[in-house]
Amino acid sequence: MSLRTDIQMAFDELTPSTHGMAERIVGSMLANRSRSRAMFAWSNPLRGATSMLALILVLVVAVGVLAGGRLYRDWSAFNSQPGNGLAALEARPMHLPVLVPGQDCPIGPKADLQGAGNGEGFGEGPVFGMPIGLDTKSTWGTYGYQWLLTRRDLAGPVLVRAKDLVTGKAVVFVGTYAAGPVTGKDSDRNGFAVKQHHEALLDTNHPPEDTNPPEVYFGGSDRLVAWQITLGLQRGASGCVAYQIDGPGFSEVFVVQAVGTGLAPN
Amino acid sequence: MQRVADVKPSSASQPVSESTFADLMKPLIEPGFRLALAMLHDAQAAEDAVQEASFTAWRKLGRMHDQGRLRPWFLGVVANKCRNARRKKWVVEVSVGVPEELPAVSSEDRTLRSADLRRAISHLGHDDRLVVVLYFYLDMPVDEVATVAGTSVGATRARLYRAIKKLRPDVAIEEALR
Repeated sequence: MSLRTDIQMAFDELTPSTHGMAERIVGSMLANRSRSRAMFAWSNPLRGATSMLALILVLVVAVGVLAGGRLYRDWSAFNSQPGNGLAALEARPMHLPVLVPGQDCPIGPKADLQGAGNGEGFGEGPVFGMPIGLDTKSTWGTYGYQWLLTRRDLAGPVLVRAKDLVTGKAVVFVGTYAAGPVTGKDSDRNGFAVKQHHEALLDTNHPPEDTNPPEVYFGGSDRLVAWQITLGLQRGASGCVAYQIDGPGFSEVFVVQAVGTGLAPN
Repeated sequence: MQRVADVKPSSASQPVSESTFADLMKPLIEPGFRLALAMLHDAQAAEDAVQEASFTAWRKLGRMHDQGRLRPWFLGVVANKCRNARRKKWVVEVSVGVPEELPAVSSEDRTLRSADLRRAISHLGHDDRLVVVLYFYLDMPVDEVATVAGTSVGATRARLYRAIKKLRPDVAIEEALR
């Protein structure tokens, strides 16, 4: 018997009848909502106060819209300034460390995440890296994932570039956060096409939400946003990866040693 | 691949009528419950998780750009509710629902083997357990599992392989994936 059949049998034994459950759950939810409405209608004496509250809210929203418009203009102006837009970030020169022959991978600097990390972290902020986990090999090289953490108050585009310090070859990014021109193509062992880029872009104005919130992985931190990026190291890479992370008003570098299922040899 | 997290709320909320909501949600309740039960091993806690997920769906449904992706999104919400429920100690320590080991339904061997398998799956980490349940129990394709889990297809596949190795170390991956 296959694992699939075994698992289905094992859980089917647990599953009670779900007959009528959908109607019950959805009905109960809508009924609760109706009760909430009824309670609101019943609370006539509170209507005066509610109206006042609504008026205050309208004023707050109006002020918010005005302030938001101003913030938007400020942001647009900020982005158009030399040094802050994405193109300007891309134009910044790389200032990664250079290894001399025989030198160990200069891992670090270690991050002080004040309990928010589940172990090692790297970088001085506002962006931090966790260790790289390699898990998928292809004919081109090895792919893996890495969590990058950004401070929640960080705003604007964050450009991520990386190199293997021993081979000097650029690390490629694939998947959701990969950005910039396509620099290569590959397919994984199941034939899925993969487009490679030399950049990853984190839009901190639109952080990932709901599924896998950072507090799940990083100890209840409400200070950090977690981004899972997928990267690839070309065959022959050492796994000693230096990141340069550029954003509005900062540029930071940290070095991480990739771990996992191993690097593809030359 | 679009991640669940990429289903961003639009700036203008589209109200969803109660009947539309009911029509959209009803087909999702049973898979949601099966997922929650397999994650929590507790029928009451599973139903609670689905109920809470339905409330979340009600609040956010009108803001979804692509309601065609409702199923993986909803299952992702259920999975998060399960993760939170597992954090509450009583769910783990005082199971008030269906017992892990049931009386034999066909043969003692089969029941024992099923109980062992459930126990092994319950000992996997949340994310590993999630991909195993979605892939094997709910028969979802890997890309949809990845959407629910909020990770890439590659990472999901790797997680699945690792989980299989823990569950059936002596079985070839290709064989186990059938």
